[in-house]
Amino acid sequence: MSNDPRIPILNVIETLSDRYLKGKVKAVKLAMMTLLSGGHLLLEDIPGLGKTTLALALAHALGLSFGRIQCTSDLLPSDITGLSIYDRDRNQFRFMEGPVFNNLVLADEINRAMPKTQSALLEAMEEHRVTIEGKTYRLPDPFMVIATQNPVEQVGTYPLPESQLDRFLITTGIGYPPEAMEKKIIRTGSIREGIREIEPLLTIEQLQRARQEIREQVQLSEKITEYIYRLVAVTRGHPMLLAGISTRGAISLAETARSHAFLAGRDHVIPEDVKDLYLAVCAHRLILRPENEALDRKEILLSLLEENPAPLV
Amino acid sequence: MIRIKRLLDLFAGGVALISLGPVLVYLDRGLLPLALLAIPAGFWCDRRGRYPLPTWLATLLALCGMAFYAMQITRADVALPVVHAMVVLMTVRLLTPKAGRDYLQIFVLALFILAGSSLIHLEVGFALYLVLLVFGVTLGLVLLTVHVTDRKLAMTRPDLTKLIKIGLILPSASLLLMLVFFVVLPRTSHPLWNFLNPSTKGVVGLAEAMQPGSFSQIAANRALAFRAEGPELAPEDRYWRALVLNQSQGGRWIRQPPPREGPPRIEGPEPVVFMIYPEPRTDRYLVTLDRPTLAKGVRYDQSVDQMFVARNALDHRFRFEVHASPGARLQVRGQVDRDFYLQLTDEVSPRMRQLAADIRRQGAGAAVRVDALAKFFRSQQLSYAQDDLPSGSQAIDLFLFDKKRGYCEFFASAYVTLARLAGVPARLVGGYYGGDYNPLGGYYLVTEDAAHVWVEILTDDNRWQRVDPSQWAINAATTLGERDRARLSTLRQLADSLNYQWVQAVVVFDLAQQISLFREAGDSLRNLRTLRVPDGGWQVVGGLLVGIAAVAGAVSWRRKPKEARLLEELRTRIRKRFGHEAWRPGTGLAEIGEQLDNAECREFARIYYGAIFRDRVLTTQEFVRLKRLLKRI
Repeated sequence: MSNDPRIPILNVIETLSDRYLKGKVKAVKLAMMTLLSGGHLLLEDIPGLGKTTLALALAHALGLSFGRIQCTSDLLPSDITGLSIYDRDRNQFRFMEGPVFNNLVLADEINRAMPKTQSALLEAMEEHRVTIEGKTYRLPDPFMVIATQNPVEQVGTYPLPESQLDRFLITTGIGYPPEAMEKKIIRTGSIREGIREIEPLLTIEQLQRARQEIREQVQLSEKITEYIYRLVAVTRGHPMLLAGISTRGAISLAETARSHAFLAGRDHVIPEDVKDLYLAVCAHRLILRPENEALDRKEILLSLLEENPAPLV
Repeated sequence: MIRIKRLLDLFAGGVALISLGPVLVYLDRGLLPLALLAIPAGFWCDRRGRYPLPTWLATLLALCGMAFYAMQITRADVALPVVHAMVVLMTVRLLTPKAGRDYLQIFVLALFILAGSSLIHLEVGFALYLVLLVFGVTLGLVLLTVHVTDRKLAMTRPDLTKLIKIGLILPSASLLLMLVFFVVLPRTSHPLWNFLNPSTKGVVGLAEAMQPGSFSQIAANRALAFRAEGPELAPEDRYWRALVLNQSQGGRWIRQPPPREGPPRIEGPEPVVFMIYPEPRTDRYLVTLDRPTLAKGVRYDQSVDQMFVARNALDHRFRFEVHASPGARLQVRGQVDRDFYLQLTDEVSPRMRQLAADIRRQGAGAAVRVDALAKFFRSQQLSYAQDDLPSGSQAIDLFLFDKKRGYCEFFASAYVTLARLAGVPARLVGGYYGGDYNPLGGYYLVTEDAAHVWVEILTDDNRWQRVDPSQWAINAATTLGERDRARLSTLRQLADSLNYQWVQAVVVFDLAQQISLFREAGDSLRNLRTLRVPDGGWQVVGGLLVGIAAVAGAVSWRRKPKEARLLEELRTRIRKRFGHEAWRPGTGLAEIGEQLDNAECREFARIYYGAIFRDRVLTTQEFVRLKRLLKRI
């Protein structure tokens, strides 16, 4: 077994996408990159395409603890973070950790929760800690939230405000599986059962090492920095946009590009890394002008990619 | 369903056949059957998808064929070898696999071959071939635009009919437009480059009456009088005759109807033919080369004193042909009214009367007296000048004895007066002298300030003899006739040639003229010899130019960083192998490698990116490796 920290990670991706999540390679890869970059993932798609399955499979394969929050309009912040309960035997309050105290937290249908609850979760995401009754608790490391939301349903939802969307590293859809794959799924039924049997393929140490490797070894050259800056800067003065990509967005793009390069086995970022991730990292951060609400953010970004060719020399 | 590709192949073959039509009889025996056979063979190959020639061999053959015919090019014969080379290219094109641009090449070659055929031979059939080709090529192009969107596209018959109907609109409309231009173009009398030759309407020039002494100086008028296309003439023959003045009246020389005399006979060498292109003018005098015999292409009346007067106004651009024999003798048959040419109504100064009396005393014959007159003019040391002129009623007297300076009118009228006083019948002839010969166009350019007056005297045996007293001026060699030379720059000469070609080819439009223009294109190449380049010099010049271009190209190529050069090379290779669309600007190298699923491309991207995006330049090793990869793509 070689010493390459990349191999276990690739192994996870390969196993998951080959055996359990066929046809979701892209989503699996993006999820891994989010994990490697220490960010959070927002899955935006209609129900029934395997958002939860993806999160479950990932948790199992990574050998991480898993917590799940099913968001509803009456979900309270304490349902996420946990609360103190009076212990009669010991005659004192005891803190009961909520689902957020897990490595991998699935927040299903996050847009159904009240803004108050949403912001409690989002604060945990940003700070990696929660404060309850004056006491601060650190969240485990690695910590990653996979939130899902249904973009079609509008009744009884509280759409995430832009400032909170900005905290998700990557937004992606899952999409329908390929025809042959879907036929197979129809014949054999859901694979939820199988997922339970996935053996952990990755230790937390291996994950930490990979993260360190990405931070220290993957080079982001001047030209790529310039390219990323250009791609970000052109959104800021864009006539269809109220606000472009923030500096946090630019950092996110750079970080994920490093992870992308790492997964491709390179020690340097190339323009293709940036291009591949531009939509996933940046689309949800754009704020459209009211008169342009109907536009697709991804189309705008695609046109910007066309207008700003990758540096070659 | 009909496949567009099949139809396109059919059109390519058809267009090739049409273009070969007009050159069939001129093609080499060896090439002709090959070219004809290539059309059905190419169609058959396209159907089968198998081609007899591998690409490299086809390219080699085309190059060899072109080189073979290029060697046959001489200055005298350019068109035929070039047409042959193009036929070779087209033959090879027909027999090789065809993508979009290959069809385009066939269409372009077909058009060029047809154009080239017009340089070899031109007949009415050309128009038919041209129309057929326009239709063929346009429809072919329409099909091609459909074809490039999807190579396997097939259409149903009704759809195809609709497409072809729409496609037919284009050539039909262009043919209509052509007809309109056919009518309109010959009627635009001002070419676009006229700004180089600003037209100034002046008054100085040929005049119907002559009054020396009425101005103290004359200004040069560079307005164009006429152009005369023909051979170059000796200086003593460059007299352009327009009108004859025969009577003096109140200090002016004017024209009276000449007395009846027998019809003149021109005796002399073979006449030369000049095509005259006069500028529009208000009078009706036709300018001819002196001793004109007849004119063609215009309705005119010819007077006994060799004046050609048009019957219609000359206020438009036209041209006419003049047959003239310069230096011929003008013999009058029968009697001449000598008294008419001896009349002097004006008062003559005593000094001149005295002089005439002296000449009379020297002998009886006209020849003796004319000699004596010439001697007098030479001895007076008169000079040709256009300023500080004698003026007043006694201007001629002043000119001869005091001021001794004047221009042609002074010389001529002084001479005529003295000759008549001395009993020699004489008359004034107005016209032009000299002109700039433009070797580019093979014509004389004569401006209004070349207007000139000379004299004709009647000898004892009834012959009108030309005498130009201005030639006796002490500075005649430097001023007369030569005065325009230095002022006509090469640029003006070139601009005037263009102007002349415009007038000749468009304004005085005539199909026969157009055709001979095409034919003479080859001859005009031969005229380049006047540049006196030694034999082989052209090759040296050509070689030098190619060398300079190659060095310049190499330098600009070297100047680019090696990364840019590599990229450019990669782009060329990818486009060549995978088609133009494979490399779109803005696409990354790794992306291209993935899209094309090409191992070399991926490897190239890996090494290249590995250097560029680690913020360092390529090492020599990497460069060599990339070069090697490029060769394999």
